[in-house]
Amino acid sequence: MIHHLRALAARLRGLFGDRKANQEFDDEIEAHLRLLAERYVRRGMTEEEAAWAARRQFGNITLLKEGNRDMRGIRLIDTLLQDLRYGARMLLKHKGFTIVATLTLALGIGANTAIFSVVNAVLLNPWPYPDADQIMYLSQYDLKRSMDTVSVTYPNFLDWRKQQTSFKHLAAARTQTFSLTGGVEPIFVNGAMISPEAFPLLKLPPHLGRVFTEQDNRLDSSRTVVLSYAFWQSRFSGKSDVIGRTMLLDNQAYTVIGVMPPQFKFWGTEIWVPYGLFGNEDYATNRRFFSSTGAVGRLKPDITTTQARAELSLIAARLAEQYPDSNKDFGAKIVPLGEAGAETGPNTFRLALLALLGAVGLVLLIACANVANLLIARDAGRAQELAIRAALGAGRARLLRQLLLESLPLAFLGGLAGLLLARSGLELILKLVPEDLIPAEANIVINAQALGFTLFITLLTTLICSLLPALRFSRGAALDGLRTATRPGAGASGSQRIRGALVILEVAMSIVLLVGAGLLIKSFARLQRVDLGFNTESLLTIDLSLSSDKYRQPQQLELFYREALERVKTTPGVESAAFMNGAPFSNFVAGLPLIREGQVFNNLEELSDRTCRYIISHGDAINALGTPLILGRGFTAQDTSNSEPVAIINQAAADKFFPGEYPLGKRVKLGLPDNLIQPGMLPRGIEKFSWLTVVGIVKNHRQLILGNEFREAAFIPLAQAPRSTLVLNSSTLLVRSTTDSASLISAVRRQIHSVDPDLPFAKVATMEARIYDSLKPQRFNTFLMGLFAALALLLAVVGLYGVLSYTVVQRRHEIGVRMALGAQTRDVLGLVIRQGITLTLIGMGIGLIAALGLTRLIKDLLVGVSATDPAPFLVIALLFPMVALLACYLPARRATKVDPMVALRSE
Amino acid sequence: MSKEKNTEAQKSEVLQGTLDLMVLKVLDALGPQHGYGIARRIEQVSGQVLQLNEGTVYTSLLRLQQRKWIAAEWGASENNRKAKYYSITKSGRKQLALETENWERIAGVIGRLLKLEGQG
Repeated sequence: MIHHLRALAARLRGLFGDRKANQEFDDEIEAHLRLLAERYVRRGMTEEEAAWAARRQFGNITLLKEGNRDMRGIRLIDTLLQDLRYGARMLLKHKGFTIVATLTLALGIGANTAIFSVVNAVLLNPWPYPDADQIMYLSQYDLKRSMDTVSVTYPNFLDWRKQQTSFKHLAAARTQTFSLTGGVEPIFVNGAMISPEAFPLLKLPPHLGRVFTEQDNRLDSSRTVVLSYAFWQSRFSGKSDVIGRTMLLDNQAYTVIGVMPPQFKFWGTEIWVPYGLFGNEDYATNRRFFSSTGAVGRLKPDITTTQARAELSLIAARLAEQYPDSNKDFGAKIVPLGEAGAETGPNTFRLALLALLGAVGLVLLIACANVANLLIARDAGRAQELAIRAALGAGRARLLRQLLLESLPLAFLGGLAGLLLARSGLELILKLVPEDLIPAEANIVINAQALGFTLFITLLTTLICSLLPALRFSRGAALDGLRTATRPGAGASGSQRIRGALVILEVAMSIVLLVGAGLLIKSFARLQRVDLGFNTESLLTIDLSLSSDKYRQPQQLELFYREALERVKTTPGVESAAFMNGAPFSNFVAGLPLIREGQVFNNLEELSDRTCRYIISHGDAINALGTPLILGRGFTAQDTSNSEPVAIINQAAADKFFPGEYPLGKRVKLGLPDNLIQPGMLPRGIEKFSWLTVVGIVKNHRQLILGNEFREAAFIPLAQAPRSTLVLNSSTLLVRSTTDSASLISAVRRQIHSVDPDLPFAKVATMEARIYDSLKPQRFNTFLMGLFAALALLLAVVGLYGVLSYTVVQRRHEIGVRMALGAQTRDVLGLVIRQGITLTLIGMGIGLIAALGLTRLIKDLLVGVSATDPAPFLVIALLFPMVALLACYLPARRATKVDPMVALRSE
Repeated sequence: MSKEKNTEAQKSEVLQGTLDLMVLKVLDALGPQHGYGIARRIEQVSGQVLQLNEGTVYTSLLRLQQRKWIAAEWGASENNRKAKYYSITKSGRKQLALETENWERIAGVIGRLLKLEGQG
């Protein structure tokens, strides 16, 4: 082993002092030959004969020298540098080529680097926590409907934690919004209540101060809060004296005890408070409702997911026996953190990212084909050089190495430009990325892994680009090159075939991308045309969360809503206004079973398909929403807590629950029948549900464009809704205006703050903005896929143009002869265009067939459009040839400008 | 490419290890020598049995030098010309002992094998 190292060291040394070593070696051989020759002379030969004999005995001197130089490690590096230098010189010489090739490579490499950065941050390594693969997400699910996963209820979580042995730590977390007051303006803060175990579980120590312990986690503990790094920076300008300061959250004083490092973004919130402080609340004590608590656990190192699943299933079964009312048929579900959320349906964002990764892969291949073609064209004059080298005995491997090294400088340029492009591309992508669908921890940047990826694809690209042209040196091609060396006009047929094949490939791949993008665009257009069933124009929406101590009683809430609505209505420009719990495109959606008077239900399962969207409204909701009344009346001021309870249902509910009947005047209940209500089952403030008389029917409206949970909906006046703060404390204010709704924001804000100056707004947006935002994931997919398809089209057309231009140059002689023999402009045009169109049509055929098979992969990204929807196929089949024709026409016209005399003279 | 390599390889592969061993042995037995001297000695010992391209001695010398088994030094030849003298190093002696042992073992095995074949 050691002597190999020595030999290597000697070789490296040999790099220097090369000339001296060569000289010495020559001298040595010289001396040897002389001595040999002298010996032959002594034996009676003539000088000449002796010299000849000496050489024979010595062997091939050149070969020996080469071998020795090789051994000293010179030649390899020497030729390496030579090839690299040559490549760089060629780049400087052919500036036009260099620019086009660099741009082409940069597009391919840049798009890939940018998309890879997203994939890497979102799918491959989103979690900054040490040993993140041990962290599991735990939830409950209905054993009978295994897809129906819900979060845990807190009492169940506590039992799980007490009884389990598989997890080192098990922590609960629940999103809780707070109003932060005491500053100039009240602020809405996204927070989470979490168990203290979350910190050791995630294994990230605080940046400042300390984290919660069990002492902080009791009902009567003094209130403490831990801040996220970002919140600390924005609210406290990153000052370290923040520790020990108090914050007024929901009118309660909390002491800041710690700040977490930037990468700690557990639950995606700004602050964390101990769960135990809220141990008395409904959501912490009710075993059946409010499964709003998330649970995460870190497995013990020697425990597998399967073992943990088995244990938790046993515990869940035990609890089901113990608490049949709430826990019957509920199992425990354990998935790795990265798969959390995926159980609610196909993870379309993951699919979208993978589809985009595939798309940029194709773009890169097209770019490679283009650059390969450009290289062939640029190096056309070198066919002879290379052929001669091959004929003189340069091995194929040597020639390949040469071509590869020569393209390294180009790859370097392309990679660098690609990286710059990726940086600005990533900025665009970050604007488009649907944050809700990615882990809060995901940090989308071009990091070391992304750089490594860039380097990898750059080298891969170089390999493909430089080796494709090298295919020309297949057996016999060298001879071809030699033969044609004397006549530059006649191109090597082999290279022509490769160029044609490359263009066909480019066209085929761009067709696949175009069809994919076409399908997404059609799907997106459909989504935007969906009839939402209400008037989306001039509608301002404000989400409110009245969770502070001021609103502990339902009466206080009602009072606030009434006063706020009165004032908002008097604001100039306001046409109508209403509060709605369950407004379209808000986060509050509730569903309750709808039962009719006279119907008898004996168990909860019978109610499972009767769920109806449940909208509590205050004010003229039907008018404010702008959903047309079909029958009956809307709500009026006469619908109070003392009048007969009423409901307005939508067409879908009328059709489903009153098929063939006249619903007006019929009585319904939204909730459970009295006989199924068990003590302790319902949130505080609700004992049973009252009968409501149906007084109106409205047109169906959508809660969301996508993921509409229930089509059936019912509106209930706030005054007659169940008396529970938990039901009533969040609401959306809808303001229908006669003017531009965005201009009303500050006026409406003032009106609400005149009622409660400490109330922060969770979200203020026009309805149109909400709708726009709701399509963010689809816009992301469609825009990027469209962009990449457009890139592919551009590259393919440039490729086609390039090949035809080159052909025209190569066939100038032939074209000249034809024209001299009487060919018309039309014939020449036809000659070139026919070639281009033939390539295009073959490529299109392959592309359309491939697309037919490949679009199936994105079928989950399409809404209301089949993966083989004929429209995009047809449109592209018709439009692509026109674009191709343009690419063919320009070189063809140049062909007609060939002067026969000049062309023939060049012979 | 493959052709040119093959012819060279056939020649040297047979000789390479053996030639290195012979060169080491010569230097061990005779003390410092120049390339010509080594070639003469091998010729003398082998008689007409071994046809040697003397140039390959230099390849062997370079190889041995790179492995630090021999050292080179410029000196004056018998007829007072400048010449490069090679001498065996300490690690070269060790290697020689090792290789000699190896060689004898293999030669023994081959000898026995050939004898076996003769009987069978």
